[in-house]
Amino acid sequence: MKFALTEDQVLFTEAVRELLADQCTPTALRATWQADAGTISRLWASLAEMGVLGLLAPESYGGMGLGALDVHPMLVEAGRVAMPDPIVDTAAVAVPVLASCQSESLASIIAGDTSVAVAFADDPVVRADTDLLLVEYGKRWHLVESASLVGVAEQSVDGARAMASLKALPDESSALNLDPTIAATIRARAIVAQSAVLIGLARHLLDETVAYVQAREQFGKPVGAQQAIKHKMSDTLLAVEYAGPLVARAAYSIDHGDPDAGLHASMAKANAADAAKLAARHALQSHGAIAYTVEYDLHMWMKRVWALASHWGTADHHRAIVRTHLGL
Amino acid sequence: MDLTWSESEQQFRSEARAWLQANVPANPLPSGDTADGFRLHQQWEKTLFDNRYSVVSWGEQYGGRGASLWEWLIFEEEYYRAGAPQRVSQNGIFLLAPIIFEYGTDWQKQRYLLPMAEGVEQWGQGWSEPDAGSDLAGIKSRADRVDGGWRVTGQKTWTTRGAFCTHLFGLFRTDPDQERHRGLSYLMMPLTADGVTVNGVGRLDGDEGFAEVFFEDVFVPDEDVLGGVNEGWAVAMATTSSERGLTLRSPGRFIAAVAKLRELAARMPQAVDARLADAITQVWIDAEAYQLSTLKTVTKMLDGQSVGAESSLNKIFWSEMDVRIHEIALELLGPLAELVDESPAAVDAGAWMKGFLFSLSGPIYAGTNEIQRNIVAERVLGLPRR
Repeated sequence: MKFALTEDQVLFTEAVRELLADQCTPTALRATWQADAGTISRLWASLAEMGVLGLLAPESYGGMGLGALDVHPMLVEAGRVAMPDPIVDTAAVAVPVLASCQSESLASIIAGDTSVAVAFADDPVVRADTDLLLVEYGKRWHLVESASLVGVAEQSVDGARAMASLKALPDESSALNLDPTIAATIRARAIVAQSAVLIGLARHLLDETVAYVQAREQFGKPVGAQQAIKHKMSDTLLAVEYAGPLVARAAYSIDHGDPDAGLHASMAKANAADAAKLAARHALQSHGAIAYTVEYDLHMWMKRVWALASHWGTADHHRAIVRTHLGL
Repeated sequence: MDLTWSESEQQFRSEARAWLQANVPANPLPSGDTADGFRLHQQWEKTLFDNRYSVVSWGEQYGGRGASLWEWLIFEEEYYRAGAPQRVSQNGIFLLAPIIFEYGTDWQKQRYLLPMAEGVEQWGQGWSEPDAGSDLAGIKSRADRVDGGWRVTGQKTWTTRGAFCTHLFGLFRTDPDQERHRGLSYLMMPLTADGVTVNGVGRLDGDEGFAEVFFEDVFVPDEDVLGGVNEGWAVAMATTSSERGLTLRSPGRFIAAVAKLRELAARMPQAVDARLADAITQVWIDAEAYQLSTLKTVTKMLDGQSVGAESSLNKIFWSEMDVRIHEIALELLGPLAELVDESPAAVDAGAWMKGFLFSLSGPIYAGTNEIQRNIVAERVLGLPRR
């Protein structure tokens, strides 16, 4: 029994964190709000070079042959900087799935030349700014050019998320020949990866707010000396600290072929989404009016939380999955 | 990360499970916080001791098995799973003993650990006073220097099972010229000592196990000072962090409580509406989260990292989860929730209301959860004290 990351996992994650701090700055993030695509130039190529995009591909494809557990702390870091690029869809979901069916697109995805978004059959809107869509339709998974399916642009509250409705559905010719055991993990992979991002977003919101209330003074003392604020910060930390292990365990379950991986993923999303929403609410309230402006950076993190908390199933939706498992 | 148990750990689990299955009393014992129940629980502690299950993580010379922290967790999980009796020895074995192991003299170890493991000597805590609750540093009970030891005068209160315990440990002011957390010492004494008066106080749940303890010129020899003179605060903080943290509330307890809640829901499906089903689901997820988090904490501890103020987070989480588990049960029971004890129509002999009342002590004792939230904010997050 050992519930901790290995030294290798910690070191690799630190390297990713440094790269993100350098390239995915609030200024760069803000610029994606002006553009139509949620990508930061150079960053995707840097992640490819570092091996992050191919982390879950076998070494024979130039990947690292690692798993969901290895990538999840990097996704926490991606959440911390509110990275807009489709790292969850591409690196954590599409790569292992496409590797399993020897897709010819894989090499170009790992190299960072092609990006992929994932869309489930019940998704009313999809990410519109990737080259390919890995889309579920008619109980099968299809890999298609995004441009062939993506229709009218939709506006997300999160300006870094380029969303769209579908104008067409995939036909049989694009269906992938997936092993059913792999296909069955797709949802769990997506949910766990997204939950890791939510944890990172929550941690950033908490850290920023703690720093702000330490510095901001009212009534002659730091706002953070007020017990009402302290308790909000403690409650946020509590929620995040107890959601994190659920996310790590779900990633571990995916890697070990645990039949409960889907259940564990839903448990992770339920608590990670609730923790991130609490972090956003407490961050806004503890900052006060400054955080109610779009000049201040914090709104970009909060809006990402509000978008992701509902995308691929709300906390309630995932609790309902767990509830069914419990026979309730 | 490795979430599997080794073969020897699995072996340990199956042995513990088999022993508990064969030995746990078929009918629940009366509450250990009543006079009769306490005696029966003390006998149960002796049975545990005779089979070296009372203090599995202690060395063999003290009646234990030298079990690892992992094995301790496994034992706790099996213990609660088997529905075994509450541990009336817990204040001694879980709170005092770790301090004796760390700060105690050889004499203290030889003198106190074995009778504690056997359940013959039962320990109460002497922290709170009428004017020192959450603000523990306001302690006024004092110990004056005399030849060969100390003379103690003052009052302690809210001592759990104080009415039945044989001994007491706690903080006393040994330097009257120093204030707050300075000048305090950690003393141990028998409650049979001359000058000690123990008055039982009825608790919210009706049990009489609470007590206030009065001291009038009680002699405590030097050999019963635990840790250095006037260094009691640091020693006591080591106790409260184990009280808040891992040792008092192992995840097995909540995994078992939620399993019982699910059984209750299965027995009364007509009472389970969508909202209650959702609430049961959430506490089940939370109990799992607590267990996983404990695995993470134990990994850290075995790696030699300190847990420290994070134990405050732990205490907030389990104590509030425990209240929620019982609140949900009462809602399931509806009009039957109020029935307790011998009441003929009471479900599970009124255990849920009793458990609810007991759960409400969690957010209060060992420092209220409001104080814990301050500690988390100040010592973990670094917010200013004032």
